[in-house]
Formats: sequence, C-alpha cells, structure tokens
Amino acid sequence: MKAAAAPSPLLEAQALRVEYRAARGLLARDRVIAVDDVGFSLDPGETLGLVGESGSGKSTLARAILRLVPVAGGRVLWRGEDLLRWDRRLLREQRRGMQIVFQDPFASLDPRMTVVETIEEPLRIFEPALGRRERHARVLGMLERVGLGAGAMHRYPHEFSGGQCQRIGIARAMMSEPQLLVCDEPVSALDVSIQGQIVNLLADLQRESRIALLFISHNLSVVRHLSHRVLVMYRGRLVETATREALFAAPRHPYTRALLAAVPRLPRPGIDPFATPAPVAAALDAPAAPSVGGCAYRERCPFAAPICAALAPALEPVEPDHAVACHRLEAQAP
Amino acid sequence: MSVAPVLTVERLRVGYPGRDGSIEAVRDVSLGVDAGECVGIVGESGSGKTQLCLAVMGLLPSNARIDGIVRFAGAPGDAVRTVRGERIAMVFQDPQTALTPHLRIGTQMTEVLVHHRRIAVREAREAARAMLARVGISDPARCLRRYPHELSGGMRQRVLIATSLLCAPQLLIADEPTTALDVTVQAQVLELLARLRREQRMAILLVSHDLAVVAGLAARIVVMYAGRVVEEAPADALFRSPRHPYTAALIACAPNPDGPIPARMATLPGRPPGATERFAGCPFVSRCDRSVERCRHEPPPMVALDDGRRFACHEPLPA
Repeated sequence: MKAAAAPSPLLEAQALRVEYRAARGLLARDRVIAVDDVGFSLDPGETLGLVGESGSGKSTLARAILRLVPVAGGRVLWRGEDLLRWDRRLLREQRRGMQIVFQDPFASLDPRMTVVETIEEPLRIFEPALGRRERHARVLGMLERVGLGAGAMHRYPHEFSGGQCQRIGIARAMMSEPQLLVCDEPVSALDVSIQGQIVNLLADLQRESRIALLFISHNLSVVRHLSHRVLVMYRGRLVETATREALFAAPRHPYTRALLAAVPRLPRPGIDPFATPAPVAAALDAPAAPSVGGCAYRERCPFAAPICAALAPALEPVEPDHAVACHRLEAQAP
Repeated sequence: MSVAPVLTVERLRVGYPGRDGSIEAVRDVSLGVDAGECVGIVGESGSGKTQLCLAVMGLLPSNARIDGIVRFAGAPGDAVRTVRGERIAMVFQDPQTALTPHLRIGTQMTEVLVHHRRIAVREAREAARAMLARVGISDPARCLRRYPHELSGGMRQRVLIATSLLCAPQLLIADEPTTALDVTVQAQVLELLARLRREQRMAILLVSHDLAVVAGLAARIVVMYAGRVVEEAPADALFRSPRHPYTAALIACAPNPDGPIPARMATLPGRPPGATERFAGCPFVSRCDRSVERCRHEPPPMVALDDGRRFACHEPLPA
C-alpha cells in the first residue's frame, strides 16, 4: 500500500452507482437504481452523517463502499486505492480496517456464542497467531472500553439488554482496530434513554482512536450531535451536503427542510409544539416507482416547476462546504 | 369533571407465572381517559406500557393473571370482549406483521365491518375506500386491491389506522404507532391522529418510549416505570416542571434538534429493573440522583395534587 499524504481522505466515493434487479412478473426484470452518482469523502477521525428515509439508499451506499453489495459503476478509493479492483484476498486483508455496526443489536449477534467468542472472532481471523490467553486479555480490554466488565465474557446475548448488545456489537467491530466504522442506524432500535449512552461511546472511541465514522440514521437529532458533516440522500441521490452547522441552521433543499420540520420536538422555551408545522410534503404518498429523469423529489415538492421534470438537478455548491441539488433555490424563502 | 371517562383503569395488575418467581408486568396502575381526550403513556421498554394496553383490550394470553378493574364507558370489565374492535380499537407498532400477508387490503378491511356491523360486502368496500381516502391514501381503490407487501411502511400503518377507524371507535389505543416509520411519515400519522381526535371526538391512548412523539398530541401524560405510574400531569405542566426525577431524566435525554449542541448527550445510567425483581422501596432508586435512605425501604406513596398532577416520590423536584 502506498503511504497516503497527510491531508488526503481515508475514503472517497466517486460517481458511485448501485443497481438491483427487481422481479416484475415471471420473466421481466426491472432495473432499480439504488445509489445514483454519489460522491463524498471522509477524513481520518471525521464523522460523516448520512440521513434519508427508508428506501433512500443509505444502507445500500454503506454496503457498497464495504463491497458487501455489487457496485455497478464509479470508484471507491480507500487511502487512494480503488478498492473495487481488489481481489478477494486483498479485500479480506483490508477489511480489518473497515468495520460495520448494524441496527438490530439482537439479530446481529449469534445467540449460541458467548460474548468472548463473539468478540474474539475478528482476532482469530486477522491475527491467527495469537494465543488464547492473549486473545482473552484483548477481549477483556475491549469490553472495558465499551463499558462492559469481565462479568460479561461468558454470558450469551439473550442475557443482555438492547443497549448492552449494541456495545457488544461495537466491541466486535473495534477489535480489529479499524480506521473506519460504518454505523447503520446503531441507536434506532434503542430506548431514547439508552441512545445517548451509545452515541457518547462512539464519540469516546473516536476521540481515543481517531477512527472515522460513517453514521447512518433517520434520527436527525442524533446525527446533529455526532456529525462533522452531513449528507442528505433521497431516492439514491445526494440532494444536499453541508457541515453540520450549515445543514441544521440553514438547510437549503426542500427535502432537508421537510425532514427537519418533521422531527418531533419537546416543548422548549420559545418553541410551540402545537404550532402548525412547516409543509412537509404536498403529496402524502411518495410514488412507488421513481420517476424517470428530472428531480426525484418533484412529486412531493411544493416548489416543483416544469424544469424539475425535465432535468435532474446537479449537486452544486451554494457556499464553501455546502452543496445542494435543486433547481428552485430562489423560489424558497431563505 | 363534567366529561365522562371513556376508559377507567383501577388498580390493574398483570402477572405471569415464571420459573424464577412470578413476573409482574403491570403493578397497580390506575388511569382514566375522557371522551375526545388524548392521553400519552411514556416509559422505557419493559415498563409495562404494552401489557397495560393489551389488558385493556382483553388481548392478554391465557396464562396472564389479571387483577383490578378495566371499565369502558361505564360497562363492566367483562364487556370489553364485546366492544373490542368496534368501540375500542388498537393500532400496533409493527405495520409489517399486523396485516395478513396473503390477503388483499380490501379483504382485510371489509372483514371488520362485515363482522361487527353485518353489512353487505359492497357497502363495506365503499366504507373502506372512503376511510383510506380520509387517512391520505391517494388512490384508495387501487390500494384495496393490493397486498400488504406492495405498500410502504407508512401506507401500511395508515391502512391499519383506517381499518381500526372503520367502526368509528370511541377509543383508539395506539402502541408506538410511529416507531417503525420515517420522520416525515411519523409527522403525517401524528397529524392524522390529531385530526381524528378533533373531528370525531375520538379518545386516544398514545403509547411511546419517546416523549417528543406524545408531546405534540397528548393533553395529559402518564409516565410509567417498572410497571407502575410514577407521574401524571397535564402535558404543559409536565414539561415545564417535572416532579419525579425519572420524568426529569426522560426530558433531559430527549435529543434536541435545535439549540446549542452539548459536548455529551444526556444519558440515564443503568437500566430499569426486570419484571421478576422485587423492591422494598422505590423501583427507580438505583438510577436516581436524588435518592435518600428511605427510598430503598419505603415505597413512595402516590401524591395527588388538585391541579390534576400526581407523582410517587419521596424527594420530588420542587414545583
């Protein structure tokens, strides 16, 4: 591997495209574009939030950069090297640097494996020369880092709460000392009271290890807390990318605005929870099949104009570090 | 109160026989819901919210031990079976599993009306179509012909709500109705519930682990912990000055989409006690930052104030 220059990104996706073939009747197949022309970069130690509703392609995008689903086009650069060209052996070797934490803390753990068996598995794969005693010492150290004690080692997943299972999943992912941790809705299945614990744990791990996080969530409050920059996805395309501050203080895309307006809020000084919410969407039902050509959001967009049906808007900078894909920026009040 | 309660629950207990001693899911819960009122129930998983709902609906499994009174609009508890699905309806959390996968939406929706109202299928179909339109389905006739897997999560949940509304219930029990949904769809479903409450004077019991979800809809909020009610108050009073430390902790933990970003997210350490645990004192004592010696030994009595608030705490926060 070439040594990367200091300011170069850890991970870079360029014009990434993922397609699925969906059955339509007995023989016919429809091509569904799950990720369409997506590009972004992620620096070491940075947290990139990825938001969008179910079906927007956020999980597919995450799986594509880890090569867990086939990629139809584009490049994924890992420290400058296109990982889509790696053979199986090289991919397997390099995977220790990129790990993933899943949404469902119970389903992502093997119910027949004790905690120590689960967490030491990455070590067995990536450091096969390691002895049992050394492995267990490393597992114990990691359990303590994620806030579980030695008492957890020989217990089974069903003996733990959801939040504790998520800690076990994080410990397993961290065991190979990755530079990138992809977190796919890691707190969505947890009680609100437990979500903060997991978010704080991820922040601590990042500070200690300078690990980069790709944090996928539909929970905007949590994304706002953790992310340095945020990508907003709609129907497979990026519609807005910005720093956290810009995205939450001055969102520009109508979809981003609708998302933010829809977040349920506690009554806090100066904010009336019973106030009429901003228009979320003109149409309640998103069309089942994405419209061909044009802006995918136009059927739900209160600002849609003829040009939106004719031409897909490109992601263009409106300010440094802030890009929006929308023809109708001037139609909206800032 | 001039309004008659549509639902009254008195000293309800729900338990199950278990290998390691009996499981106590609901421990002495009393509450009321008035006609046209939305009451929110908030608590972490395992706090007994769902068991309470199922007990009210008479849907608990046969090995459940139920004690206490559930009264629906004056009728005695045994009568729940006869009014279930007609005057009380329930919407569940998971819209994927609550619909039968091999039946078309139209078949599932009309079944309800044909059973309860004994009307003709064609008439029932028309009623179902009209109700789908009311919940914002843009092509209701087409929706009736579809199978559950052909609909998005938000559409499925709206189909379930429409189905539960077909008999114009006086009370809708909604157990985490938006937890599986995207925020935009969640906003639509909550707005729909608010509209139905206003227009039909339908009472709603809205259950969620997320205070922010009930905040916009419920006029009164009941906070549950370890199978008990620990605080109840009008929503504005509850948010302005929570009296129980658990309520205060839930409010502090709710992630905030506005305002300054704290260095760390507020958390509530520890976890709620298990359903087999017995406690001599307050169930919250191990996680409470205000606990004193007596909280360990003496169960805090429920204190009712005359402004409609009540709480069970030895060391309540100041008003």
